[in-house]
Amino acid sequence: MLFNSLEFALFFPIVTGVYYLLRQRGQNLWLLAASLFFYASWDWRFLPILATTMVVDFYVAAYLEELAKIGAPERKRKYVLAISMGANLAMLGFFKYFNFFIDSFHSSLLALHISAPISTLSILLPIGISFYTFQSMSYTIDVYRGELPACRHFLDFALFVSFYPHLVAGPIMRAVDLLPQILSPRHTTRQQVLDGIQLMVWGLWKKMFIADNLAPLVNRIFSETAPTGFHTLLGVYAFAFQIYCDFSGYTDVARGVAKLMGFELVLNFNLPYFSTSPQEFWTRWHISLSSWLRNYLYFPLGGSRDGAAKTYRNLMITMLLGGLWHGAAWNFVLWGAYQGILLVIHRALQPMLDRIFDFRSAWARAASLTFRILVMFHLTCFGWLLFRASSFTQIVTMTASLLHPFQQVDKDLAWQVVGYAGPLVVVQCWQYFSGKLIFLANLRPLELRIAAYSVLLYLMLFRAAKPQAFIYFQF
Amino acid sequence: MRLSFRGLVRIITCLIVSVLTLELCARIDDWIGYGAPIFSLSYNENRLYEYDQIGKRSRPNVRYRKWQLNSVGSRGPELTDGGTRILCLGASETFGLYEPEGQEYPRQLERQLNARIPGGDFQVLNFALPGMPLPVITTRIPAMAAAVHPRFALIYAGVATYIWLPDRKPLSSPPRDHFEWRLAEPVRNLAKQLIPASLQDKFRERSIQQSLASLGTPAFDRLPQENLDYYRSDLEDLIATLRRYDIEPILVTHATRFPPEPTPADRPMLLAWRRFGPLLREDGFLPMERSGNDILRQLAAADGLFLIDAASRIPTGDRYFADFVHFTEEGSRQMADVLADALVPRLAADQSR
Repeated sequence: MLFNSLEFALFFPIVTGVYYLLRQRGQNLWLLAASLFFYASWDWRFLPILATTMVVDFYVAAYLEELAKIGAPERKRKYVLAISMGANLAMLGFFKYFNFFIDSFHSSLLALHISAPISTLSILLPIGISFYTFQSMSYTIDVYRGELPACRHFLDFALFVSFYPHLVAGPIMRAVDLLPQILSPRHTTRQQVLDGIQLMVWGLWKKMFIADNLAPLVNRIFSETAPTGFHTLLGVYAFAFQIYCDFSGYTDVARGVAKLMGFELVLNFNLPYFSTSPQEFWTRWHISLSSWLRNYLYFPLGGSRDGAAKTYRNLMITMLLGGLWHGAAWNFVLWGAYQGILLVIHRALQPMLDRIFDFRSAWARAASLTFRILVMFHLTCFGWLLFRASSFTQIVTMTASLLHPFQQVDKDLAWQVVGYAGPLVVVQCWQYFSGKLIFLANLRPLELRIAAYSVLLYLMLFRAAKPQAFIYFQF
Repeated sequence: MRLSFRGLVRIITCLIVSVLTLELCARIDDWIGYGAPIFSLSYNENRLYEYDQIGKRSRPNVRYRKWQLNSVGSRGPELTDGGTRILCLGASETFGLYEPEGQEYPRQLERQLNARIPGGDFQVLNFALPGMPLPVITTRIPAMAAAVHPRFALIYAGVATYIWLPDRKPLSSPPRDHFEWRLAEPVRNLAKQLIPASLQDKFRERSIQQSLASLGTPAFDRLPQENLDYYRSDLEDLIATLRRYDIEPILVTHATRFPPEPTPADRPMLLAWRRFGPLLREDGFLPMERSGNDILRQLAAADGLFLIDAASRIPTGDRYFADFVHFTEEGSRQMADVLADALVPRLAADQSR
């Protein structure tokens, strides 16, 4: 059930309407039922996998707390935590990475001229498994660390894992952020309703008008065997906006739906293409994943505490695994490595860059800001080329074509990209300089707000392309 | 919760603002896409027509959405000097409703003929208009002949216009221009996508019943012989007129999306077709088509005319037909292939003479 589908247009008002009629316990039960139905609508066979995660992590966390209370040795608590980690990672590894590793192993053997009768399995990838597994793991780790009491009621915990707005594509909510909201009564405020409506409309507009219209164009360019430099350039720009609008659009709708029910989900995207450095990019792009990786991987590895060399190693490990989280393919690993290298280089050069860009006059600061944003945007775009390419050969071909970026200029194609992405860029410039991410919800007078929503509605209903599945569902 | 008068006014104002904004968006959208005037009362296919004492004819140098007419009023690019000109006569199937611009079958045929006949210089002129009855086409032939001096005329005209005989008479006065919501068409198209097919069938059935009630005539199972006779005589008139102006008529049998024996899955589309001829029951449409094509074959045999049997050569199904008789882009390509296969030897021989 896609957020941009007729089914969801029926599901959402029914679920929200009944939700408003119930008290907190009833609301939680109703939301749990709705969430399981939402998840089963993709494929009911995914439910047992989701249920396994819920059961294992609920009982492991409860036992961890019990052990802490009786003063059990740290080692024993670590073993118990390992059960949760092992179960979650085993399921993730099997469903998502089994075939990838088998394929890679087979290819390595073949490269060594060793023939082995290895075959892959026909495994169905449970939708959203990477998101809810990470979320559920964060709960047991937080209980282990003593940052959070274990949840007393299984159904509340089950709702935490399966809460439908963010179940299949995030944001990845830490238990400390979401569980308290589930456990206490919620009151939807007027501002939450206004913000929620804006987030839903804006998110759907980004997805249906921009991402879905750019998708065929991107697919066409990335299926060309020998694209010109100009086509590659446009294809990468178009993909940059497609993936951003697709993913952030989903998140916006998820946050909007949650707000309408009185929940607050974390901000997942904060104008990422306005970043001036790789470090800033990861505080603006998929914030919930980068926070998770920082809290549960980078910091436990040592973070930046043990000197430059270990910091660089930790950054590389974190980003490589972050890349692999996105999908079972080598180009995602390559993309992760590229992001790691950018972070390492930036970290190494930061003192020098700070000196270079230390300007006094306002215009020089503005020019330097623009320059750094543009450079970072293009570095990000090159990352998207690695991310979107289907083979190493394609990466090489498209990268080589970029040496002549203005070869065979295709004005029609350029106008299409500008036509779909341009309005977003204009709005986001305003958001960036005004510092207001929510910009429609409080627009005055009301008639002006209605007119703005109507324009978005027109573009969504009558100028949307054929609906495409959200890109991040595959992760 | 009681709604105050002020609150009610606010809600109504917001609704009005929303509808007006959506309408303005639709108009700007038309302007960006097709250069349509933003503030005109209406923007519909009537822009393509003008009327004289005979009836409807194409308006030169006009554009409506993707349909662009040239200076002689045919759909397609401007004519160039010289070459062999071939008229395509018919109605909406020939004019092209669903194909992208430049992909309707006359355009594709022109490209094929010029590619397949060495030294060929053929211009295929799409003089069809949606809903154009044969008698009107016949009366327009002298003007067409004087304007473009064609050598051949392909006649691709179905018999469906003859279900209700007054349809074959020309409409001599233009419909009155009145305000039309530009938003209506996108909303209608969206509704077609969203409303379940079974419900759409119910709407169609109701519309057919309403049409029958307003006509005050009972529906018939088969097209009456009288109607088929009119079709035959109108075709004979057209052929005679073309010959009078030294234009060689070429008859083309009429193709539909349906197999010879329609299945239950074909019923919704037959129902959709019947909306344009409610007097004939769905089961009568395919026999009507067969009778119409038999008349074309008989005329060709009797007069020694060149006949291209498109009906038996174009595959059926939704890959080739966007609705009951109108081509998809691929259907138009298929039609152009069929026509070109038949015409190439004939035109090559003509050229060598």
